Amino acid sequence: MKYTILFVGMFAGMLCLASPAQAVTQAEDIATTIILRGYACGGRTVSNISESQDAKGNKTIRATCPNGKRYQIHVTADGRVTVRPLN
Amino acid sequence: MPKGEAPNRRYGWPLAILLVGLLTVPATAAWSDCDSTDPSGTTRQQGQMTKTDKAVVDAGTAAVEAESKSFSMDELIERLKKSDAIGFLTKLTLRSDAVDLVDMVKAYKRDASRYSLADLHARFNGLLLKVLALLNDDPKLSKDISMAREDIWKSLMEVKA
Repeated sequence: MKYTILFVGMFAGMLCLASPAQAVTQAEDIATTIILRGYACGGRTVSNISESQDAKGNKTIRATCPNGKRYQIHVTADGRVTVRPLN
Repeated sequence: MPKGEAPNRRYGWPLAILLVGLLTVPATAAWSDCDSTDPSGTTRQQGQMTKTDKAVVDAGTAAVEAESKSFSMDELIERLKKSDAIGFLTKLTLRSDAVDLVDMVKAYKRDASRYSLADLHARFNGLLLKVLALLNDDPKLSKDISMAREDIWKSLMEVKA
């Protein structure tokens, strides 16, 4: 019985060590992009995300950082990313 | 029984088991490293190299050789694209930065007075640092990119104007 408990414990420990990395959420992804462009965000996630896309394939994302600042991220059809504060 | 002992009884065992589990894996490796006795049971003399020692040395040499291999740039890029540690938008942002850097290198090759090599190197280091910081959850890729740093710089410098 003791060995069974020990084995289960070891297995649980190994699982904890080998747990894979979780995928990044969209809110985290947007916050990281804002920070990478040198803007203050005040946290690692954003809220109030809105997205729109024009006919040419350019995408515009608006999101609010934990510090209250709202940003607009513009992604062109060829993949260029620019960030602009809205307030 | 005193009131304060109840939580210890309830959680003490599972916690202890988990702790033992966590500690056993590295401890087993450390144990095998520290063991100074041969499988045959004879104690090792100082300065003598046993078969196990030779095998360990050979394995270490092989590992160093494997680590010092030159990395395929396409493979690293593919791994970076597939990595879950960085989000899609962040990858696009890094790609934009990389395209800007390549444009700077092209401009430098056309007209060296526009940018200095030190500027380019500083920008390259900054971009690489960003990538490595973002790859916190993918340590293997982070390590490989870090080791391929010079190769990446060389291939960047080979870009034609």
